Amino acid sequence: MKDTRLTDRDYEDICAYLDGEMPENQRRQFAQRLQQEPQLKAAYEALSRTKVILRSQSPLRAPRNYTLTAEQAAKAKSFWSYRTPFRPVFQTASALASAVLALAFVFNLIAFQMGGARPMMVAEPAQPEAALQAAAPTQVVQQNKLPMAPQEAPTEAAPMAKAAPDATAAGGFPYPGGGEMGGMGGGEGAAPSIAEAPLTGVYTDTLMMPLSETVVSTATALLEAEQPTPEMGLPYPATELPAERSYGTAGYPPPEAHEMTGRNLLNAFWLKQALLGLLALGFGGAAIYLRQRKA
Amino acid sequence: MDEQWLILSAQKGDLEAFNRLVLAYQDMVFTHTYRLLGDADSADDAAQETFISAYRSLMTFRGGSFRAWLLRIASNHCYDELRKRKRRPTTPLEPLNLEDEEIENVQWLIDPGQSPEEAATQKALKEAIQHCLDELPMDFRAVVVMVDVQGLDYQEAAQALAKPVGTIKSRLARARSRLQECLQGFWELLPSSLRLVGEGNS
Repeated sequence: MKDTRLTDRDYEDICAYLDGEMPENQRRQFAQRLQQEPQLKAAYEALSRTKVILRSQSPLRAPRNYTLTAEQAAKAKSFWSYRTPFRPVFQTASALASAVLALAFVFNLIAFQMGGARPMMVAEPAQPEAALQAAAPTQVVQQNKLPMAPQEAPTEAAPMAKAAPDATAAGGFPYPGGGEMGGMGGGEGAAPSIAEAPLTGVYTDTLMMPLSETVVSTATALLEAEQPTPEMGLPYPATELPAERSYGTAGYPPPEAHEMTGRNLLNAFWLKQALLGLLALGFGGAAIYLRQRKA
Repeated sequence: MDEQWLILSAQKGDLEAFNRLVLAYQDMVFTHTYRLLGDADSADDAAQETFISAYRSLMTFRGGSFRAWLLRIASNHCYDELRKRKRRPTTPLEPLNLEDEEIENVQWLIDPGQSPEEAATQKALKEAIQHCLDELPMDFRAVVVMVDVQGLDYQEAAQALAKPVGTIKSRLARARSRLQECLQGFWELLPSSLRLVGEGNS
């Protein structure tokens, strides 16, 4: 039984004395203490006996030789034998990829739910006449914002506003973004246009993306900010646009705006998620494989 | 043959030189793994893994005590094995004798030169010591096996366990105290010579 009157330091000194690991001057002092303190001496003898018992055990003989064959040596030096440092890396990478994948999934779900509320506002399927009517107020708003411009100027300066009438007039199916196009032409008029404009089923999903509206509205605001005043006698910048860039005919969709649509962003999200999922699976599989190889 | 020369040759890729080192140290490594793991099969595997790892990382040996370096690798394999056991506890299948009773110790662990009575006492004492070692925390066990069973000095043990000498001293003192308490229940198993050592000093 351990003597409670002795400190841990006393036991360490006893061990050091027993093992010959004590400097000579301390050794002499400790030998004197052993003569004077019976409890220290008793502990010394007990530990000494324990050490003798352990030392009395002859070393065991190995059951076989562990010499390496040439094959074992080659295998030991191969790349995959250095698997121990890789395993934690793969495990960590797999865990990180899984976490990012989960976050991306949640984020995407939230974004989708927020964007998915907009189509609920659309009650009726689109009709060409309704689209024309829906586009008209937007055009008025555009004209109101540029009172000094000639009558044709809004149409030329903001060709987006011309899109809906032209599209219907050309007999193509109405650009659902009658509202969206109105938004391009009218800036702050975008939201009412979307709410009021009937939609075709084809482009409903385009409108589901709130980001596309934001981008279009921002582009419109920038366009308006850069409008030169008529007093300067300079032509509107839009009049210098090449003809193919006015989206009035059925040659939609507008390239720049369409590239920024939510559909593309959604696709990018799914691609990223798929990539993260593959990474998580790959790293996790590698970690499991290395672990099994080691076991 | 000179150990340093063998080590240098092995580092240059001489497998024969490395195998001579293996033969010189395999009993020590097996004893160490057996004392730490308390199971002959696991100790056998750990010893083999130790030498494979040693061959693989021989270039990282920068001098000092080679046996301490080997024991460090062996200890790490034992730590891995013990961690694995904690995660997946298993019941070892002991071999059965003719009466369908479990043979607790493999026969090759017993010195064939002993009489049956000596062999039985020695076997019981080994089991008692192993039982008490198994009761120790792994860190304490490794120190006491290195110093008291393998005969390493404190500096070598510190090198083998990558701990300061002060830590080795502290752990050794605690480990011996616990072992002493545990072995008190097995004094009747001790050979008379060892009993006399204890009694004569008290």
